[in-house]
Amino acid sequence: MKRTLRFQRKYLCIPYVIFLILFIIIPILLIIFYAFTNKQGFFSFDAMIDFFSTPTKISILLNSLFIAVQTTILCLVIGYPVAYFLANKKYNKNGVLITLFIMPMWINFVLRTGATRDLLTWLGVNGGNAPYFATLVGMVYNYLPFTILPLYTAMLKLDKSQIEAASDLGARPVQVFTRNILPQSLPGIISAATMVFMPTISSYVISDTMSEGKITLFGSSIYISFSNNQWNTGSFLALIMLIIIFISMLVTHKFSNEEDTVRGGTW
Amino acid sequence: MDNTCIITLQDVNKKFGDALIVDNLNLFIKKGEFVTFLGPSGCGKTTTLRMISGFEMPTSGKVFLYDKDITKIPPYKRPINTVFQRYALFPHLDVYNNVAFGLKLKKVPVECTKFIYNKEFFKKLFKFDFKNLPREKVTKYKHVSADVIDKKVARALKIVDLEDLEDRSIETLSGGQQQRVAIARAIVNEPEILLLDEPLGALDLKMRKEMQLELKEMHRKLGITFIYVTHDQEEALTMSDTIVVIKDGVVQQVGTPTQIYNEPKNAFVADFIGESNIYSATMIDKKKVRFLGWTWDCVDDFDVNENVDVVIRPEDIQLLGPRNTNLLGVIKSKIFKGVHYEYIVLVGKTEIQVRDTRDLKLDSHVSIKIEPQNIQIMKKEYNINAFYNAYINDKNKVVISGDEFDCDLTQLSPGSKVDEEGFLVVNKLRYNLADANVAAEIALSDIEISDDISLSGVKGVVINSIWKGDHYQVLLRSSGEEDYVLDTQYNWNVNDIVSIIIPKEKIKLRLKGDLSKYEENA
Repeated sequence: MKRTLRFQRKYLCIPYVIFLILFIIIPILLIIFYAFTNKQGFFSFDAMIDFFSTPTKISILLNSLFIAVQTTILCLVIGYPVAYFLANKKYNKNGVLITLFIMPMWINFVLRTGATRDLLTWLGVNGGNAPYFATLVGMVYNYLPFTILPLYTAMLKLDKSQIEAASDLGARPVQVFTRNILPQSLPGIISAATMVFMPTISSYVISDTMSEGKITLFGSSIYISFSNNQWNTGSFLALIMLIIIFISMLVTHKFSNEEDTVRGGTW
Repeated sequence: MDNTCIITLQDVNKKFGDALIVDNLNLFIKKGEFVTFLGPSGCGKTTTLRMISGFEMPTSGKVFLYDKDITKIPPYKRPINTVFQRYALFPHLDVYNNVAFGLKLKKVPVECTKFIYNKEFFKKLFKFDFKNLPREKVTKYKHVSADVIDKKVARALKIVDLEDLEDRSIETLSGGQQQRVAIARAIVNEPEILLLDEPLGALDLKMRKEMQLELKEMHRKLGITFIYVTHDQEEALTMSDTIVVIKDGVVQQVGTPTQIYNEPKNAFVADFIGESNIYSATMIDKKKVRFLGWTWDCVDDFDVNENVDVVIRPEDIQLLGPRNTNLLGVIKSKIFKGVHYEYIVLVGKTEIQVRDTRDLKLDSHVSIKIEPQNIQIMKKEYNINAFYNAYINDKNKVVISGDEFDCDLTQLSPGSKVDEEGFLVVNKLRYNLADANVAAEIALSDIEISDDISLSGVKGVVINSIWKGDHYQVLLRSSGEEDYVLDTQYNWNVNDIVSIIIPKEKIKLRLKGDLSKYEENA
């Protein structure tokens, strides 16, 4: 029997599989390898012991988590009402307003952050006198479009008759919101929170630019480790970040599993 | 059933933008009744219901609950609950929590005793005289307790036959079950009025018939007022104590199903409720009316020479062997309907629908007899030209008594269009409307006439022309022996022959029966 190599549709995946192996699987394995070896290349827990015994490194991690949580909450608090009104055809005719809101996403975020810093400096608030506030402003400004978009898609799907039904059954306007609109938009909230939390926890360009180097976040400490040739420490920190993101994904996935996974439109 | 009015609508008007949806509505709904708002889609019946539930506020006029003006009271404060068209159940809650939704929000007055913290209180407290501590009775508003909610939910679910499904999530339920949950969710709050907005529309025919009977039974058991909205006349006849027929935001007739069926007030009601033969007629003598080219005895008394509409139900027409003393006709079509046959008898150019249990031969000659009391005579309304026996021909034109007019079929379904082959296309489904029966309406001001008889295929003779203060009202009789009334600035001479021009977008069509039966199988 003669075998011929016939084209099959699954071969179309090959480029991506190569990409996956080269740029995702091998780097992860490398990170794990470096995280649990010492400079001589022998198996060791040095990096782990070093991390857990250095209070500054742990405080950097906690600080980053705190900023990420704050950014996420602020983005949701600002983005939720905005998305609610944008989803109303009365205010957002032809989708002009929503385009204005997501337009900043078209500009590279490094440029955007630089501009934000200059604007804040002009207003008299900058990394010099309020590094923490400036960082938070930079973060919220950068990730707000990522919150609005999934929330907006969720709001578009709000079932108006359910809102009427709640009101009909005796729910006051506040109760209509807490018992119907909020649960209905929960998938959007979760996906918005994920969209903000995961990148903020690892970002360092924004904090470096906005605080003028005064605030070191977890991402920056990884960057510093690698640039100082501390590959093992850097890898271990990167591993910790991977685990945190993985856990946060598990949590959000568990939430959104109960609803039909309604992710933001573009993702 | 007592005679107190639970809901009164007083001079209610509702406008959306410029469109008048409800026009000066006055309505009294008695306590404990099963009332149905019946009318074609877009007639304002749902808007009226929404004004009772509080989701819409009338542009002018008032809504009363008993004697209380509730026009501006928001929905959550009204003792009224609604079963929504597409149920509007909460998908994030299970069946139990959907039904318990209203109860969990409710606060009920509870009598309880409270200490009075005055001097006496502390005196007695220090004397350890706990029994005689000063107390007072107060009413507090408290949430309904969990076991009361449990009991009420269980009872409501029992009424709708869903006892075992408390823990199920909404998505796992069938349409019929969801319907029942929606009803349970509304009645568990023990409302004084239950509003039902076409609740059976999404169910299949068999399910619908079952639910109709169940709803009727529920109404009897609960003893509360039901206000039901439907466009299905059969449903209305089966279930209601009182039917309110609405058209274009105006109440046409209010009455019991029997009254509405047997004594329709106008041609629209007669046409909308049940099958009927409707003809233009003239009173030619006392209790004598002429239509179908024959003079009939009747029991209604109108002025001699008055133009009227007559309605004869298909089951009220008797077919006899051909004899010269009666009107003669030929059986043109015959359809077996189970209990009876449905015949179409042709008299001249006019069709008559007849229902008869006997099996008569096609193309046989028959004579037609109608008892005087079965000829229902109605005052002719000259505010609109309404033709209830029109149909669409294979050229997609509307045919009114043999007269062909161009028409716009896309108005039959929003978002539809007509393709090159002449099919009506809605959501990628094709409908072949050739031979579809329709009712056509043309406003008096939308008909133009011209003495250039080459302008239109339809010609008519001016029967009379009356000065109405600022215009003339002209009555025309077409070659197909149909009467058209129109308003015009010019006086026309009687017996003038004119062409009749009606712009196609001015002919309002309403399909008889559902669009789905004309679906074209590709």
